[in-house]
Amino acid sequence: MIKRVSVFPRIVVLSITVILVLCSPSLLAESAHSPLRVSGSSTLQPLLDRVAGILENSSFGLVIIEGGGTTMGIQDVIDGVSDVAAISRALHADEKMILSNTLIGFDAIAIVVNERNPLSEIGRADLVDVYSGSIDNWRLLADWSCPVVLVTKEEGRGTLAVFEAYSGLYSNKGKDVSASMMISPKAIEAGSDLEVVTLVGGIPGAIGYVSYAVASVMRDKGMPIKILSLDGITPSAETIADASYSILRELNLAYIEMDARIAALVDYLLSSEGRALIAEQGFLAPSEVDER
Amino acid sequence: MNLRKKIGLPYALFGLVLLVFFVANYYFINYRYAEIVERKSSVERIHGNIHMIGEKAANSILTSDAGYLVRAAQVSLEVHDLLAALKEVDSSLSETISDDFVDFYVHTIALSTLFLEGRKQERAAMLEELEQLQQRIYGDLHAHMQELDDGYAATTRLNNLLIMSTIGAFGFVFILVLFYVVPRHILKPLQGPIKFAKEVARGNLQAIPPSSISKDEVGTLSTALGEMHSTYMITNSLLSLSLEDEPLEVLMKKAIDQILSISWLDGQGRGAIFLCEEPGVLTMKAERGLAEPVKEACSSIPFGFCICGRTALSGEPHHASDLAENHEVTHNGIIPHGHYCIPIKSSDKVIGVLNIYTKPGIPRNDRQESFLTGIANLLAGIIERKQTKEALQKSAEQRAHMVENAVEALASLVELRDPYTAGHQRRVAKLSLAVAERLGFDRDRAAALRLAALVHDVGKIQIPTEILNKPGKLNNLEMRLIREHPTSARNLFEGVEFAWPLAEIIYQHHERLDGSGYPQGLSGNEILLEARIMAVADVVEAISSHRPYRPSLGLEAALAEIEKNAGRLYDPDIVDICLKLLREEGFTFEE
Repeated sequence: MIKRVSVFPRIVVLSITVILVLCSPSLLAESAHSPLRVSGSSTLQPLLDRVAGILENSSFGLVIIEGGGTTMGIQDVIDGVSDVAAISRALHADEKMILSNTLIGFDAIAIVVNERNPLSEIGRADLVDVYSGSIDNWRLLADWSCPVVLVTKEEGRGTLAVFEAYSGLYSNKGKDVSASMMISPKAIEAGSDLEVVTLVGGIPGAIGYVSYAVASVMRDKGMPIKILSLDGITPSAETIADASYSILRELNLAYIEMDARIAALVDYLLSSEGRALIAEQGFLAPSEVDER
Repeated sequence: MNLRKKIGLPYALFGLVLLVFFVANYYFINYRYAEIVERKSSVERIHGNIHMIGEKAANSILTSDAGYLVRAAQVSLEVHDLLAALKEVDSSLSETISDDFVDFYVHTIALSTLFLEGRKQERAAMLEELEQLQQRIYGDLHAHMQELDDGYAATTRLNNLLIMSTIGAFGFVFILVLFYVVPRHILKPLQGPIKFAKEVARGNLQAIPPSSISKDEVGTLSTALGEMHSTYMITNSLLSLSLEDEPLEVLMKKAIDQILSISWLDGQGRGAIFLCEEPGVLTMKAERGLAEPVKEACSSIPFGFCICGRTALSGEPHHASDLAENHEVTHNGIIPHGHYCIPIKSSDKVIGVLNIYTKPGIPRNDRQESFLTGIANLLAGIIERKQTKEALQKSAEQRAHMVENAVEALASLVELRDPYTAGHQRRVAKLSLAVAERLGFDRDRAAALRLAALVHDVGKIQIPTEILNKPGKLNNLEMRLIREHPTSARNLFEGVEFAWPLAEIIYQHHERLDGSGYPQGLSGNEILLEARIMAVADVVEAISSHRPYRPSLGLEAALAEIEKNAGRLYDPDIVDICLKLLREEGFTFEE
C-alpha cells in the first residue's frame, strides 16, 4: 500500500512534465499568434476561403477571411487590422512603396447581362455608351425593349479600378470628371462580385461587370445571367491565357512583412495543389500565363 | 296567326332572348371572375415571392452556398414578369411598385452579400431600410388586392342584379300573356260563339251566327259555326221543298239556288241539276249561271258523255279541278272552272246528276264531296216523292177518265133508247157544272157532279118507253114506276168506286128542300149539295124543253117555277145562281 503510494506521485509528475515538454512548442506557438487575418477583394474571397479551410486543417491556426474590396484590404493591412490584403488588380506604385506583394494568378473581367437579354456580344464603344447612360434602353443595341439597369462596383473595389482603366469612365465618387467620362449616377453600386451577379440575374435589364471566375461559376450554378463576348472575344481559359481577351487583371496578395504563416499561405497557393485550386476557381495561375 | 303562335311566340321570343342573355351573362361574368381571380393570384404570388426573398435575407439564412442567390434572382425575374403583366391590365396598380421592387431587391441582395463578405456591422441599418421597403410594397399590393376584392364583389352584385331583373322580366311577360293576351285573344272572342251555340241549343234557329275576322282558332270556330248554321238552314229549306206542291222543275230550280248559296263549297255560283227521264239520257232540269252555249250543249246529255255523262254511267261522284280534265263540252270564252258531279241515286239507280261549278284549281275535298252526296240523296228523295205523286195523280186521273168514259157510254146508251132523256141529261150536266163552278167546287167534285148529272135519269131504262113517253096524265102505278128511277140508278152505280158519292147524288136528285121529294123524303141539309144543284138544273131544263107528252113551256116559265119555290122546294142560293146564269150571263144549254 505505502510503496505504491510513494511511487505514484513520481510517475504522475514525470508524465505531466513529459507531456508539457512535448506540448509546449505548439502551445506556445498557439498562444503567441493571433489568427491570420486576410481581407480585401471579394473576387478572391471564395478561393481564400477554400485555402483557409485547408490550412486550418493542418494545424496552421485560425485564418479569418473578410471581403470589403481591394482598397479596404490594403487599408486594413496598413492599419494593422489585417495581416494580408487580397488584391484583385496590380498594385499601384505608391502602394508598392509600403507593401510587398506576391502575384498568385490572373482573372478576367466579364461583362454580364440577364439571360433574357438577346444581346450576345458588345464592343468597348457601346459598353462606354451604356455605362455613361447615353444608351438607356436595350432596343438601341438589340431587338428588345427594356430599360438598361446599370450595376457598378462601389468605390475601392479592385474590379471597379480595372473597369475604369479599360473603359476610361470613372466612378462619380470623389473624382472631378466630366459627365461624359462618368459612370452614370443612376447605376446601382454593388459591393461583392456575388452581389453583382445576383442583381444582374434578378433584374431583366441589368448589366454588370464582374470577375469572370465568379460569373462562370455562378452561371453554372443556375444564376440566370449571360457572359457577353467583348470586342469579339469570348472570355475563356484560352482567351485569358493568351491575353486575347480585353480586360485582364492580376491577382495579388500584399503584406507589410512576410512571416512564416504568410509564407505558408503564399507557398501553398503557388504549389501545384494551390494552382489547381486557383484554376478550379476560374482563375489562371501565373505559371500558366508565363508558359505561354 | 293562330292561338299557339299568339301565346307561344311571346314566350318563345322571350325565351330565346333569355337564353342568349344567360349565355352572354354567364360568359361575361365568368370572364370577369377569371380575370379578377388571375390578377389576385398574381398579386398573391408577388407577395409570396417578395416575402420569400425578404424573409431569407432578414433571417440570415444565407450561407456561402450560392443556391439562395440563384433562387432569389429567379424569383425576382418572376416578380418582374408578374408585375409587368399586372400593370398591362391594371392601371390602378401603383406606378412605383416596379421601382420599389428593384429597390427592395437591390437592398436585399446587398444585405445578403454583406453576410457573405462577413461585414456584419452594416447589417442593422440595412435591415431596417429593407423592412420599410418591404412594407411599402406590401401596402401597395394590399391596396390593390382590396380593389380586386371590391371588383369581385361588384361583379357578384352585377350578376345578381342581372339574374333578378331577368326573372322579373320573365314574370312580367308571363303576367302579360295571362292577363292580357289570354282574355283579349281567347276569352273575349269566345263569347260570340258561346252565345250563338247556346241560342241554337235552345232551339232558336234564327240566331245570328258570330262574325269573326280573326284568323286564329276562335275565328275558325266562329266561321265553322256560321257554316254549320247556313248548311243547316239550307238543308232544312231543301227538306221543306219536298213538301211544296210545285212542279218538279220549279223545285229543282229552287234546290240548285239553295245549294249554290253555300259559301264553303268554293263554288262559282253556277251549277245544274240533270234528271234521267228516259233511259241513258240526262236532261237538264234546272240551272243557274250557265253560259248559253253550255245550256244548249248540255240540255240533253247521253250517259258516258262529258263529266256529267260519265258520272251518270258510273254512279260514282266525279271531280275535276279544272277544264283540262275530260271536259268535252266547251265553247269560246268558257270561264275556267272545276266540277263536282254527284250522281242522284234512288236505290242504286241513277236518276239524275247534280253538277256544281267550283273555282279553278280547287282540289278534291272529301268534306265537300260527302256533303254534296248527302244533298244529292236529299234531292233523290224529293224527286222520287214528286214523281210518285205525279204518277199517282196521273193514274187517278186515268181512272176518273175511265169512269167518265163509262158513264158517258152509259149516257149514250140511254140516248139510243130515249133521245129526249139523253139530251136532257147533257144539258142538266152543263148547267150543274156552271153552278158548281160558281160555288167554287174543285175540279174533282165538279167532275163528279157533271158525271152524276149525265146519267141521273139512267134508272128510267127500267121504265117502259110507253109510260115514259105517254102523253097525258099518268096513273098511280105508272107514277110509282117513274119514281123508282133514282133507286134503280143508285143500285146500278152502288158498286162503282169514285172519289165522290156518285150513286148517292143521283139517288137524291128528286128530293126537295121541304121534304116533299122522293124516294126518301129528305129535307134541308140532309140532301147533298150536289143533289140540290142537280134538282134545280133538272127542273129548269125539264120545264124549258120539249117533251113528247107536252110542248116546251119556255125558259121563263122554268125560271119562274124555281124563283117561286126557292127556299121551299129549292135551295135559294142555287136558284139565285141559276137565275143569274140564265138571265144575266147568257148561259145557254146548247153545245
